[in-house]
Amino acid sequence: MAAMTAAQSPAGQLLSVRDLAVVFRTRTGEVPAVREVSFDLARGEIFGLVGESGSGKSTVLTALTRMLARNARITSGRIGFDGADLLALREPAMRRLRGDRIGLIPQRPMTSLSPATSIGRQLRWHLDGLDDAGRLKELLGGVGLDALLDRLDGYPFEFSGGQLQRLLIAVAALGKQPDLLLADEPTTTLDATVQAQVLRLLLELRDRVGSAMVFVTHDLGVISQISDRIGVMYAGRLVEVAPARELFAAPRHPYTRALLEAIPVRHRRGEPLRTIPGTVTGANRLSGCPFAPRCPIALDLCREENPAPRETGLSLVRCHRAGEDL
Amino acid sequence: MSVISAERLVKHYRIRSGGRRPDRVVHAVDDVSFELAEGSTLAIVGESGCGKSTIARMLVRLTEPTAGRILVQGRDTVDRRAVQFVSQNPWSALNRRKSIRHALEQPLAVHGLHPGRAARAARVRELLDLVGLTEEYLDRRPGGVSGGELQRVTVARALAVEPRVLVLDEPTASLDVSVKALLVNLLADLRRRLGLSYVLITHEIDIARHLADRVAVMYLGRIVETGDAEQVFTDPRHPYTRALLAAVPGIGSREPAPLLRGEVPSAVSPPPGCRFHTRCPMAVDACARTEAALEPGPDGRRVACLRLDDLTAPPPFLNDPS
Ligand SMILES: Nc1ncnc2c1ncn2[C@@H]1O[C@H](COP(=O)(O)OP(=O)(O)OP(=O)(O)O)[C@@H](O)[C@H]1O
Ligand SMILES: Nc1ncnc2c1ncn2[C@@H]1O[C@H](COP(=O)(O)OP(=O)(O)O)[C@@H](O)[C@H]1O
Ligand code: SF4
Ligand SMILES: [Mg+2]
Ligand SMILES: [Mg+2]
Repeated sequence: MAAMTAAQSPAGQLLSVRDLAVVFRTRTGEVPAVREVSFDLARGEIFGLVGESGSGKSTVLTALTRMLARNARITSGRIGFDGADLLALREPAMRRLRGDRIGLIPQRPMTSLSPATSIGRQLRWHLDGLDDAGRLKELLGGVGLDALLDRLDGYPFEFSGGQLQRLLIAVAALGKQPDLLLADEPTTTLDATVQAQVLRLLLELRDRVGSAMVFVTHDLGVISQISDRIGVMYAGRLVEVAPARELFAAPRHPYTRALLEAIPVRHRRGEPLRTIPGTVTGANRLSGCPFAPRCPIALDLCREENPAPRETGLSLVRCHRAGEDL
Repeated sequence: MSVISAERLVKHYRIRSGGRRPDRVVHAVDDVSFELAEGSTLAIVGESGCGKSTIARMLVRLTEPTAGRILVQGRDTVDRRAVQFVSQNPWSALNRRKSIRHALEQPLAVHGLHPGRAARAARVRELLDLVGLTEEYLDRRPGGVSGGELQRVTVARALAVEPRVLVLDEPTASLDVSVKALLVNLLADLRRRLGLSYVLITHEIDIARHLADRVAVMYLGRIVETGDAEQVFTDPRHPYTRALLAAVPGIGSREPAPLLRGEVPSAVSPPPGCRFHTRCPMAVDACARTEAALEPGPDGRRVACLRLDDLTAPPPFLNDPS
């Protein structure tokens, strides 16, 4: 067997992203939102993505479905999906993939639902065979929405944020049972018990049909429960990738470390939470390490040169000082 | 003194069934009472769909209670200035086509505060300063600033009319860890400097724990447990509170919490007796018939559970920080 690396994963490869770069055209010029992003995903593997707001997580997911905003452009990279070159596919073929093999749970449920159509009708738009009452019950029950069975004629505004989010999870995950599920902060509007139910459901889907997932969240507890490997993004780049356990036990990138220190459970009640000084603004355009302006251990080299990825075993880190004993 | 007293609030939504069936009623909030002490923070936590946002909307008068009343500083009159709202989604709270300057000036204009261009501009600068933003943001539109910055703008906007109370509905839900920490610090700082009181609705138990003095735990339209925040979070009593806290994922934990068994009941036909009995691991036959009152226990907290006396074993919940 060939040696495995961070960017590669074991046999049963489903997705391979290489050097992906996406820019947005804005009034003030082009914004490089995603740069040099590479990762692989095996069937049945769950890849967690965390990182600063605006670091490009949603852009990566939408690029994978080729549903980027009109002002966005993929400027380089390759996306291999089960042997096909996704970026070369024609739109009808891509649409078929989105129909049953690649599912997306979008970040803002309210904006993905039509406000003037009953939720029952919208469920039927997305899924065939829903007239079978047993199937509907199974679908809603899976996300703890059994109670909505008698309210399907209601419109989105009649439901709570978490109820709508769960409807979209039911459609994308349980309804389509895709080979690749892209979940963009799917549990942020859910309480802990319902969240645990959704996480169990996704893990069960992975075990039963072998779905692979990219799971974006800001919740470090959630990401540690769901992920096999975790990628940390900062200013458009994947700055660290590591197996879940390892990332928490021994974070290597200074941004990852700062992230772990900012969580409230590491503080006494009422004491100000630790934050990361400075801002990410403008970091996408720096020629050196994008974290250098905020990094407590930055060297001159960091400001001048963007660190190349260093791979060790299943991990990857982009930091000039990663090898040092600090 | 209480800055807000909510007395037996009820909100029922009638949903039409189009003639064939009788109209149905969603029991979003049923008989909820609480007090918010001046300068304090009350966290409301609970299951998705249990009525938290509905309470928020009643407090800020976006919707009228079906029954019950809300006293603000002891008075039963509608005061649109004293209680302001910060919603979960800053994008939908602000007009996308208008500048941030407009967002901050508009409430001043509506309430006729700081009349005159110069006075208004000065107040807007003051507001930006309060939330730690600079004037360069004024001419940007909501699309041009990050989520964390925009959430500061919505806080500044809520503060424009000098309210006594902010109702915060999941204010940090979509923010990343470090931006979240900044906002939590900002809220704590504003509370101290301006003597504000908060009603904080959140699914993030760690944030509730960090900011709140008191907490109310809701399940299906009702408060099931309420008391001193530290007490409830370290030693929860109601079986639902226990399940909720036990499900909070600890950093580095590798498995989601086990499921609550049983049917999730509908708010259209809430179960008789204790509303949690269909899923409660402690339920006995009586729970399906009798609803326990929200009784104050010896330690001052209130728990609505028939088996209160058996709920004393110390629970091993909430992962320790170390
Ligand atoms: N306009 C409406 N018409 C009918 N039912 C409604 C309406 N608004 C809310 N509901 C219902 O009332 C109940 C409480 O909703 P609410 O939005 O208050 O929940 P929540 O506790 O804020 O939930 P979440 O944590 O998911 O945001 C839910 O069953 C919801 O579907
Ligand atoms: N439609 C758009 N037009 C212009 N810039 C955008 C658009 N969508 C996202 N961006 C920019 O791209 C970067 C990455 O955004 P996004 O992928 O949404 O980040 P994340 O999901 O990690 O918060 C940010 O700088 C953001 O402002
Ligand atoms: S490369 Fe330098 S600036 Fe960047 S994270 Fe590492 S030490 Fe900090
Ligand atoms: Mg995003
Ligand atoms: Mg809500």
